[in-house]
Amino acid sequence: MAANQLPQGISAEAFAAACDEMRGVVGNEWLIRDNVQHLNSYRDTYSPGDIDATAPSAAVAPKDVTEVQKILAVARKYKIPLWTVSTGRNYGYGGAAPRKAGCVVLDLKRMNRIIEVNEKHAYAVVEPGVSYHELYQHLKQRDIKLWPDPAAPAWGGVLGNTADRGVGYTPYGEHFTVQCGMQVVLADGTVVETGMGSTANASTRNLYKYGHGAWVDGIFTQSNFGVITQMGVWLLPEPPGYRPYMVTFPEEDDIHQITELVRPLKISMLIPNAATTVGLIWEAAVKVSKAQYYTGSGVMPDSARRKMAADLDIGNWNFYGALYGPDPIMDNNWEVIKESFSQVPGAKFYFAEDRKGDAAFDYRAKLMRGIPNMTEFGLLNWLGPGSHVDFSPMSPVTGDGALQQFHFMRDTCHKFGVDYIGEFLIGWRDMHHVLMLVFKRDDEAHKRVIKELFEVLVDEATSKGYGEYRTHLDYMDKISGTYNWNNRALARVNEAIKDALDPDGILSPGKSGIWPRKDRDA
Amino acid sequence: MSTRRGFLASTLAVTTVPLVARAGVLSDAPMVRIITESTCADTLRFAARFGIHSSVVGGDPAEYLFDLERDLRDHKIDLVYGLSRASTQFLVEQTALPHGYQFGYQGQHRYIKQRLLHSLSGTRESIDIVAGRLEWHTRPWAVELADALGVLGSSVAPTQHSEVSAASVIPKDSSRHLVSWLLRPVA
Ligand SMILES: Cc1cc2nc3c(=O)[nH]c(=O)nc-3n(C[C@H](O)[C@H](O)[C@H](O)COP(=O)(O)OP(=O)(O)OC[C@H]3O[C@@H](n4cnc5c(N)ncnc54)[C@H](O)[C@@H]3O)c2cc1C
Repeated sequence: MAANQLPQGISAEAFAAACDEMRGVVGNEWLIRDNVQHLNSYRDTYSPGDIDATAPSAAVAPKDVTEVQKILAVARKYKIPLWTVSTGRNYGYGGAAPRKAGCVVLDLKRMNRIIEVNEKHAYAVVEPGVSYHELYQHLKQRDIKLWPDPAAPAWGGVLGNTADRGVGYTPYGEHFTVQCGMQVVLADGTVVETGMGSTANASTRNLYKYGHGAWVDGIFTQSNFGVITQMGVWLLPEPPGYRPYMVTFPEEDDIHQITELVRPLKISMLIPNAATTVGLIWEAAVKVSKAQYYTGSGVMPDSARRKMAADLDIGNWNFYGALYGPDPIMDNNWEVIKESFSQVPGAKFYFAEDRKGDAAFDYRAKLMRGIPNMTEFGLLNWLGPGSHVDFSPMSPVTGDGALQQFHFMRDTCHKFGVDYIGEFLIGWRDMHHVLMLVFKRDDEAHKRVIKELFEVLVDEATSKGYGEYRTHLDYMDKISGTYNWNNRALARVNEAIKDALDPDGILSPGKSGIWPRKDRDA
Repeated sequence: MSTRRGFLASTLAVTTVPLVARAGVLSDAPMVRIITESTCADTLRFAARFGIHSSVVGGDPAEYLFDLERDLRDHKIDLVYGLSRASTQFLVEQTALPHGYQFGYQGQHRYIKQRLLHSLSGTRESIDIVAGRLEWHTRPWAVELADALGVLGSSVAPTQHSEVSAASVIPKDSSRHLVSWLLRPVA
C-alpha cells in the first residue's frame, strides 16, 4: 500500500499543509490518510490493472455544501486534484479510485439526506450519499407507493449511478432520462441550480427538465466540470399489477431474431421496462460455478454448456421483461409479446410461479419492480474468487447489430480462452451490450490476458463502428480517443469547458478522458 | 462451541455470538458476527452450528450487508467470521474496510478431483491447530471450521500459510470453491 502517495507535483510539506487545512474543515475522522484500512477502501482492488496507478493519496468526506466549498478552496490554493465519488461503489469501472494516482478522493457519502419525496408528482430529491437501499427503505417504511429504479448493486447510489449514466431495469431504467433538477458546486465554489431550479421559487425544479436557454445538466455527467450535490429523480408510481416473465431461447444465433422482435415491442412500449436479453453463462453463474460443469482450461465446451442449460432449464439467451398495469392491460400485452416471441423455434415462457427458488429469476424480478438487492455479485464466483471489468459497447436494436457484436465479442473472447458472459440491456432505441470479463482475482497471468483482451475488443469495436457508453478508469483515454470525429471536435469542446470552469484542474482529472490543460500540456 | 446470545430478527444468514476463547467464556467476550449463506450443504452445516436454520438462510447478501454496516458503525460487533462464496467475502470486506477492519484469518476450500484442499492463512498457532482439525476431521469439515472460531478468534494477521487436503466426495450442490475469513479491527 502506497500510504505515502502524493499528488503529482506537490511536495510532502505542501500536501501535509493541505491535509491539515482539509482536516480543519471536516474534522480528523473524515480526512482519511493515516488510517490505511480506510484508505484502502478507496483503492480499486477489484481491477485487473495496476492498482497503484490509481491509488489515492487521501480521502476527504465533507458533510454539506459549505464544507465542499471549503475543500475546493483548499484544493485550489494548493493545486491538489480531487476525485469526486458519491457512494463510491463503481466496481467494474474503477470503484472509488481516481483515474490518476495521488488524487484526493472527494467522498460525498456523508451527504446522505433524502431531501424530498413528492408523492403527488412522483419524484425524490437526494444528496450524493443516498444508496438505492436507503431510498427503497425510506419509501417502504413510509408506505409510499413509489418505486426507485436500482442498478443491480443495492449499495450503489441514486446520484452517483446517474452521474455515470448507469442503468436499471424498471420502465425508468435509463437513469439520466428520469433525472430532473441538479445542484452543482463548480470548482471556484459557485453553487449552481440547473434548469427551473434557477427561477425565483423553483416550483417546477423537479418537474420540467430544461428551463430556458442552454440545458447543461448533461455536461456534469461522466465528466469533471463540477461536483453534483443534489439531484432530482422521477420515481415510478406503483402500478396496480406486476408480472415479471422470462423467455428462453435455445440457440446462440437466436439473438438476431429476438432483437428484431423486441424492437417494435420496445418502441411502442408494449414492453415498457428496461428489458434484458441475458446470455447463458450470465444467467447460470449466479447459481453455479464453471467447475461444476467443466474443470479443463480455456473456454467451456459446447457439450458442457448444453448440459448446464438443460440442468438449469435456461436457454442460450434468456429474455427478462415485466408487465405492469391493471390485469386486462397485462393480459392483453402478454398476448402480443407471447405471440411475437413464439416465432422463435424452441422459445419457452415462464412466470414467477414457474421458477420458484430460482435465484436468477428472483433477483431480476426484484430489480424490475424496484427492489434493490446484491444477488448479481454471485456471478463473480464463476471461476472461484473473481472480479470483473465491463466492456460495454452500444448497439442499435437490430438483429444484424446484435448478432455482429455478439459474434465478434464471443469469438475474440474465445481466442483468449475467456468465456463470453454478456447481456443486452434494451432501451427505447439502443442496447447497452455489457460484456462481463470475469477473472480470477488472485491470478496475475489471468489478469494480463483480460487486459490484453480488453484492448483488442475496443479496437475491434471501433473498427466496426461501435462506441462504448462507459468504461473503467484504465481505458478512459482509449475509449474517449475513439470519439474523434472531425479532428477531435467533441474532445476539444470538452477541453474548452474544462479550462473555463476549472482552470486549476482540481476536479477529477482524466475522467472520461477529459484532462485539465496542465495535464494535456505535460 | 460458542454459546449463543441471540439472533437478529431482521437478518437471515447471520447471527451474533460471543467469542469463547479456549480459556473459557470471558465476561466481556468480543461479539462475533457470523455470516454464511444457503448455497450448499457445507455452508448450511456451518450455519446450523451457530443455530441458523436452513429455512431462514437467504441467498441475497443485501439481507445482511446493510445491517453489518450499521452495526460496525455503531461498534456493536467486534469480529466478523464467515464461510461463503468468494463474492460474499468481497462484499463483507468492502463493508468492513472503512471501519478499520482487516483479515486476521483467510481460508480457501476447494474440491479438486475427489479431494478437498484447504489453504489457510492466519497466525501460526491458530493455523496449525485448525489445519490439523481439517486434515484429521471426523465430523464434517464445515462443522470443524465453525467450531474453530474460538481458536481463529485470536488470529490477528495472515502471516502463516498452510495447505492441507483430505479425501472427499464432492457434494452434489457444491460450487467447488468456498472461502472462510475472520475480519478484525486493526489494533
Ligand atoms: C455485479 C455488478 C453488477 C452491476 N450492475 C450494474 C447495473 O445494473 N447498472 C449499472 O449502471 N451499473 C452496474 N454496475 C456498476 C456499478 O457498480 C454501479 O453503476 C454503481 O451504481 C456505481 O457506483 P455508485 O453508484 O456508488 O457511484 P459512484 O461510484 O459514487 O459514482 C460513479 C462515478 O460518477 C461520478 N460521480 C459520482 N458522484 C458524482 C458527483 N457528486 N459529482 C460529479 N460526478 C460524480 C464519478 O466519476 C464516479 O466515479 C455493476 C457492478 C457490479 C460489480
